[in-house]
Amino acid sequence: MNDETFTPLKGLRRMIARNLSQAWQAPRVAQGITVNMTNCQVRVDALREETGLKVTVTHLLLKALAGTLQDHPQVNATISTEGIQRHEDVNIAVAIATDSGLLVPVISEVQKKSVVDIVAELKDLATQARANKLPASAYQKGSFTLSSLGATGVEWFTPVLNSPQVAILGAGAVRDRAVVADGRIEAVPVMELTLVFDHRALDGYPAGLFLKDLKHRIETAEF
Amino acid sequence: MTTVVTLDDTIWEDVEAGMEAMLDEWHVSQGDAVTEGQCLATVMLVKSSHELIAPSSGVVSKLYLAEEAYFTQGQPLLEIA
Repeated sequence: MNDETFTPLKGLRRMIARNLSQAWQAPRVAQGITVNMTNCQVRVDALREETGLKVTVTHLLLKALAGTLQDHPQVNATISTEGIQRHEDVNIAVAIATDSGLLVPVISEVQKKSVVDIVAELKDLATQARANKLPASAYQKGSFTLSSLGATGVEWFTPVLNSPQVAILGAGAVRDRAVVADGRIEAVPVMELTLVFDHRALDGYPAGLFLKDLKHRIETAEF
Repeated sequence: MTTVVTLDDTIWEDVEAGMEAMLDEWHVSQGDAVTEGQCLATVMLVKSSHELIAPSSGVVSKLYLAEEAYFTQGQPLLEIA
């Protein structure tokens, strides 16, 4: 078996390399928060039952992000040499693994969409991205990025920014953890969320408040 | 007659102003005979891959860019004489 395969930096790989090198120039900070997923999992099961669709935690996370980003417009922003642009619409780029590499198509105006809409659109985007059928514009105008590695079992990670956006969220796997509540130890499903942000555009305190509100929105699971 | 070839405007549709595409790979060299509809090069725009198609038959008289170079909408990429 020959394990010494050489892959030249061509095509998509070259674009990924260029974009990530550019994004790496930003002075970035990472903040993490642990989220109790009990109610969210109940909601996932209920939505599956109601709709017959394969609803996942990622879909609810997108819904929670849309609301939280609207309440924290400084996180729903892009940066250029001229300044920081806040965006009214929540256009979330979602990282999708494909055979040729990482693709990050955008779901536009997530704030106007139901969970059912999000399930359908994400499925469609993933299928088209994997078949290289998406136009260039499908990867543009994102105001924030979600990268989830939940399916791999990874618990937390710090994603690289998706330039020119000022923030990206990395979501880990849901797993049971022993938690002390009311003086008792119980097993609770939790997920780690890591927000990486560009400190030129956003400070640590408002970023922390964003994560706190996102956690609350997910834990109450009122989607 | 010389034809200057650019990347089709429809590929740039709804793409943010000022965005650059990358000439990923030439499939022809200067002096090659080409036929209308032939794929001349592969280019990347944002993260999508596209083919540069010969609008007419002839001989490649000039390549304007090297592989890995970046270009904007309307920029000449190749000449067919």
